[in-house]
Amino acid sequence: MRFQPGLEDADPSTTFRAWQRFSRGEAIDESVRPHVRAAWQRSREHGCSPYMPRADVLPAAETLALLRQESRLIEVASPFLAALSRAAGPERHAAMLGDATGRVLKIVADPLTAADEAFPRSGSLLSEAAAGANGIGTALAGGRYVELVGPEHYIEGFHPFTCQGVPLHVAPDAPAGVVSMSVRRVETAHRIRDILFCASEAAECELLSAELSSTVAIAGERSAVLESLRQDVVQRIAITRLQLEIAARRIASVQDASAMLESAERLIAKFRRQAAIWRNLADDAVSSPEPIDLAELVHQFLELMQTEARVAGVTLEESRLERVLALDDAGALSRRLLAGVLTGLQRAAPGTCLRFSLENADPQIRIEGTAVTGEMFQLPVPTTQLR
Amino acid sequence: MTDEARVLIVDDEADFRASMSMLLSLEGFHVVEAIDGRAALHLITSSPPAQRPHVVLLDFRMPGMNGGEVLARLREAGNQVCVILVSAIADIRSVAERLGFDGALSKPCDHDELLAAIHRCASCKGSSP
Repeated sequence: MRFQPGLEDADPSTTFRAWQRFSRGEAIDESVRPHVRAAWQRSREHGCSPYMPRADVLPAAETLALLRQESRLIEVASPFLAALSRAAGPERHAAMLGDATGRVLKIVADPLTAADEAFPRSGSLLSEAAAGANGIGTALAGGRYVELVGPEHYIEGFHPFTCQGVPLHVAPDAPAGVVSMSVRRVETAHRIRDILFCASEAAECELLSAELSSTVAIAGERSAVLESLRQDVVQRIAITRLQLEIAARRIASVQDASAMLESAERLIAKFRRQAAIWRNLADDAVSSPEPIDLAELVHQFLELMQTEARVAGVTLEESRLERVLALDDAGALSRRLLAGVLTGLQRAAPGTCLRFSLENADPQIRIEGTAVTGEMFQLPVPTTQLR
Repeated sequence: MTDEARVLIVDDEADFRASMSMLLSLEGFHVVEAIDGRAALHLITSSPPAQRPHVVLLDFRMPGMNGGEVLARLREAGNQVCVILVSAIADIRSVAERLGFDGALSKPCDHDELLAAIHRCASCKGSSP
């Protein structure tokens, strides 16, 4: 989880007095939480007015053009906004998606909030530079999760809300967008915090998954097996989405959803590991040799190949693998290992087992199996020892 | 009647079956699971009429026989249960149409689309499983 454990609860009345002084031009009070102080300072430097009546909104035609341009992001994030909205239950809330500049793309809200003319809508600009400290703009400006309780928002009109925002990253350097959740009660905000993290991570995975699909189309002769493996990787996300829906219902009825969210987090981590291996398999690029923990590589590889093996009727088993470090091109080694596993699956008799072991002296991954004829076979996947 | 509709989930991935089963149970469906095509065929054909599923959510890539083969066996036997293909295959709609599935849902499933597809199937065919 990306939640910062040091984040203490804000005291709204103390913060409101600090906000009053600050909005009159005085210095920022020490009682204000550090991440909010930084956000207020940035907001003031951008020249925002704490009393602006509402956020700037694009004209309708430009909003439509923006929504068309960001249709993929909206499509990916929409199920998660719906799950967050379900988690809030009957309470006033708005689950929002913003683009990388802080422009609101979609809102899923309760009927009262959705009908509120003053509430931000698709096309509203909530960047910190334009609208001061808020759940969308400050998450983007700080590059991480943010929580703003009531008067911690820079604009007075946002003071009734507690907002949380999480930037979405596909690549580490720039955000692809931001997901935020606005509610009226701090307790509700705390109840939905973990599902907000989980939903934003799952949305990131789905954005990554879309990239995998486009890579299959250009992957050449390995495209058939890569497509099968892509489907297996996507299965992790399919399960995550179901678990988030279940968690949302539990949270809405004030039941414990922690086990379900922890399971979803594990699946997300598994997806990220498998997607990384998958990308190595799809990419023919040659890269510099790097230290590789062979036991870890085999373990993760077998995890990825489970369904492929199940369909072939063969079990994959690791022998007790000691730590062996090799020096190799990670992508090239993964592709050699894939070739070895596929050959092994073709040769192995259904109902038998392919065993994976490591040779330390002359480093290699060894695959052993039993052919249809009953004969044993061995497939070495050589690599280079790290010295 | 759709709130009491019986849904059979056929998928070789235990976590998927368990999560889908839990979600559909929360939505008021009666859910049964099968780990592969063979188990699904047995369950559909050997259950008493009152316990047969109204809707089958069928994966494509599975050990033994794939989803298309399961559907073909059912239709050969004259069974017209509503079968929805649920898979991550890239061209799912054209595959579903070509093989004669009653619907197709791409993994990961959109929750609203999933419920709509089940309700639609259950209302069309569910009254006489």
